[in-house]
Amino acid sequence: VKNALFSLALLAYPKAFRRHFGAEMRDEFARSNGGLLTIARHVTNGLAERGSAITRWAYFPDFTPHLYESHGSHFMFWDTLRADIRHTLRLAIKTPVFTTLTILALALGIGATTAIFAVVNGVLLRSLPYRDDGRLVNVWTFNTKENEPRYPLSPANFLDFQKSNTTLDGLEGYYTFVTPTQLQAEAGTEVMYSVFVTSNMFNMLGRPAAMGRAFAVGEENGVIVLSDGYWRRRFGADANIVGRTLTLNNLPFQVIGVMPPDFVFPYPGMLGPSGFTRVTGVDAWLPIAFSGPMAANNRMLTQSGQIVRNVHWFGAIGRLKAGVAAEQAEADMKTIAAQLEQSYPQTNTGYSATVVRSIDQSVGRVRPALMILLAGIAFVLLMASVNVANMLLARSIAREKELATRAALGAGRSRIARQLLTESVLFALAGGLVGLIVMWWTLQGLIALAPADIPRIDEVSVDWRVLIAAAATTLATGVLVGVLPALSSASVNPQASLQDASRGTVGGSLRRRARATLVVAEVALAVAITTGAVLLLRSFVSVTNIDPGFETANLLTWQMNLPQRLSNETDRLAFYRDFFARMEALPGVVSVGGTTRVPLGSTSVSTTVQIEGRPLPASELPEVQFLRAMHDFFATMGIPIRRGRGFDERDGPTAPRVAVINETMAGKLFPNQDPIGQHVRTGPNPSGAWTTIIGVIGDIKHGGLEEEMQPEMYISYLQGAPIGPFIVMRTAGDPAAMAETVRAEIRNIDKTIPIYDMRTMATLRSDSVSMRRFILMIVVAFGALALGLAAIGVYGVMSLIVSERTREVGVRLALGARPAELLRMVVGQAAKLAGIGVVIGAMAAALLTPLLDSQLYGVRAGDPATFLIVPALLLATAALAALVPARKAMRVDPMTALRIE
Amino acid sequence: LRSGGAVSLHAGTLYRALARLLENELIEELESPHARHDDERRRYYRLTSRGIAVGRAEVERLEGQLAAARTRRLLKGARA
Repeated sequence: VKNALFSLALLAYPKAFRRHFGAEMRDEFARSNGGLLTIARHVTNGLAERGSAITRWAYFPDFTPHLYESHGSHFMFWDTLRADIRHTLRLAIKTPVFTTLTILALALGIGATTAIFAVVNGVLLRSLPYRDDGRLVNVWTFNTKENEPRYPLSPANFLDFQKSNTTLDGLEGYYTFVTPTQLQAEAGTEVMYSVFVTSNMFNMLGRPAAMGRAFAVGEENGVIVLSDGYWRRRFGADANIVGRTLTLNNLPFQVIGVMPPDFVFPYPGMLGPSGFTRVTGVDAWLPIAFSGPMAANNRMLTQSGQIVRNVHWFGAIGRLKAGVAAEQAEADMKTIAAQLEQSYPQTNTGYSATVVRSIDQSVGRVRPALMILLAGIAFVLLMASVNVANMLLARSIAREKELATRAALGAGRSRIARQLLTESVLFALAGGLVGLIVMWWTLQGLIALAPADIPRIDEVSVDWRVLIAAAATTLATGVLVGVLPALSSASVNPQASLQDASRGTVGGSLRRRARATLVVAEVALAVAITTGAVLLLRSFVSVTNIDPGFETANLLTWQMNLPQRLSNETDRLAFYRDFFARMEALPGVVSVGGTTRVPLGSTSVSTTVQIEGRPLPASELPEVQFLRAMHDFFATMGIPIRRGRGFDERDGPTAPRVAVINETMAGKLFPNQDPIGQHVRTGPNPSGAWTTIIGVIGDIKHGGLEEEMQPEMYISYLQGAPIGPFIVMRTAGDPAAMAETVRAEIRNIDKTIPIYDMRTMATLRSDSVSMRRFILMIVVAFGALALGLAAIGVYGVMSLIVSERTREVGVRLALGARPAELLRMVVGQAAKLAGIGVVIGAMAAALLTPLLDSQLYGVRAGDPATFLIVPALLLATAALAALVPARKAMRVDPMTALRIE
Repeated sequence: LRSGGAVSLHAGTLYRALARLLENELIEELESPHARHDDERRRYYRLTSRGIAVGRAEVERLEGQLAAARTRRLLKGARA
């Protein structure tokens, strides 16, 4: 091995030097028994020698000492390269249109590919902003009853996992939702979005504060750490912020630190299914208290002072011990979960554990979509390369005479192939350079267009990995593009070519076949891409056509919190009565209502229900979504009442408890019964008043347009007033125009009421499909590009064939062939090539489209209509592209054509 | 190589120095003096007349510098 390495190291020296001293050096090396260090020094020495030889040769070309004979072959490599480059540049300048088109095509391909790669790199490949992030894992409860593997933990279970595990170097907890926190300032009350984390979280993640400090272990009360963004936005990057006291929910909190700008925690993917707001950006972090008044406030403790075990809202993130795999940690957690099931059967039955790598937890959701984009752009790049290869091939045919002359003058095959390869690599390099500009623009465009819910999209930038990918793509493209022309030209027969050249016939059968292959490949690629694009387009149409169950037009929504002085139910109801009356009195308002969960815009709260006359053990009770309807909610949303009635003034605080359920709940829980008049009770408590079902409403899409309908149950706000409701307002005109009026009116009512997350329902709806729209837009662009490239490719090849066959066409015309027949002949030839391409492409698409499954909706991967439309489209495109050269062939003047002889 | 073990030269450095000397014709290669029973790979070099001249000039240059250092008593402390 050592000798082999030594031989490799010797290659660093120039050939002449090696020839002179190589044997001796080898001998010396064998005798001295040198090690790796000696070999490494040989490499540096060799390169230094090579460098100085080249320098001397460059500056004193006439003084070349005898070791390097003055016109020795050891400089031929550079000499040849220089000559080839000079030749290429001269040709490039002589044919500016060809050069520009080639470089542009390559620049577009390389630039777009690299831009998409930059997104993939930034979102999927870059490490998370934590120390040694490869070892971080998220720990969840596996709710086997609902088959939800990533279900939040309860605080008591979290503490047990933290204490008993043997595979983690630290496990820290956080609330799986962002909490809107009221910040009382002089100008009024505003909302900041905070996340509660256990006090050791930042230490475990390995990130210290940029200013001040993070929480100390066990520091659980009265302190807050701000995010860099919030500190800049809200406090104007005040350098004296550390030590200031903020009033949050009427309690004093001291700012102890500001985190660095690149620090993000948690990523939206780490949040759970429930919460109070759809906002996922974090302004500040608060420590979780496990005891004391804060713990009681946050419902961490049961009435007897125990830490809660039956309610699940904790996330957990831990650090694997060195050498421990995530699977081992999962086995460990599952063992602990099984022990907990034994110890606490009441609360823990059916709860196992899941361990997910934190990077997957953060970005796993967008991985399939981004991979689709990467595969799509690779196909487009391939097509662009095929096109350029085609153009180079066509040019090498036109240059046949030149190449034949070179061959006749003694250039070997490898010499000619090398020259052509140098040309194509040079083209690719130019394309790569221009491609960097294209990439920059494309990247800016992609980031601007990307939906906000792609995690880490703001972390996308051009780093060394992107640059290496660009360089590799460029080189690979250069070789790929050049190989076919180089091979086909290298085997040129100078005698035949030079003789033939005078008669204007070009192209051997080998090259004709090469070009046909390229056209077939191009059409096949275009079919594959376009099929994917059409499937995604049809999915998008199906998704946007989904009926959300309510009318999205002319609706304004926002969230607000009641002032804290309204401590009891009566005061709150009085407030709401006044509030709704004043809102309805605003000009341009049709009706107003409210709920605890705005459709397409917030997360869920669920409960178990008991049905009178159907006793079940607590662990088998059905689970339903639990919401409250406020004021005129159903009418304002345009939700139809299917049976019974909605809420009204009769259902006041002292009246019998009533509920309205949705059709899904009616169908699931009362399949063959009339749900009206049935009695239900929420929660597992075996005693308490029953609630009577008074109505059934139509289903509405809460989680997202594509989500399955879930059973839902509403109670009236008069029988349980919420403190942080979502308000919906139906307006006569543009709802966005009402925003300021509403804000002003609420300030008039009470300036301490924070209003936030105000938007129109149309925006919510459009945002809910933004990821899909983003992917679609890009893939459709790919599809259009592919069609265009295929058309250009077919056009190029057919016009070449036609101009090649001008003489033949002339003879045919002279002998009486009708122009229409010629047209059919040319178009038919193109159609034949395209036909083969279409078949291959359709087969490739059939193999590849199942990969799109995660993005499809309402259409199958093997959708027959798509597989008919796309090939037809491609055939038509190919025929159209062939029509132009075919018409040219028709107009050939037989006299001129024959005179070429 | 006679350096009394004071200098340890890397083979690559040595041969690069030899190459420079050869190129500048300060040394020249000889036929092997005892051609029969010698290792074929062993090579023999000899100083050329130009090499001798350059060597002398270099020694004179160094001597001049040494003398300058002595007159300024630069070495006095080191000797004591």
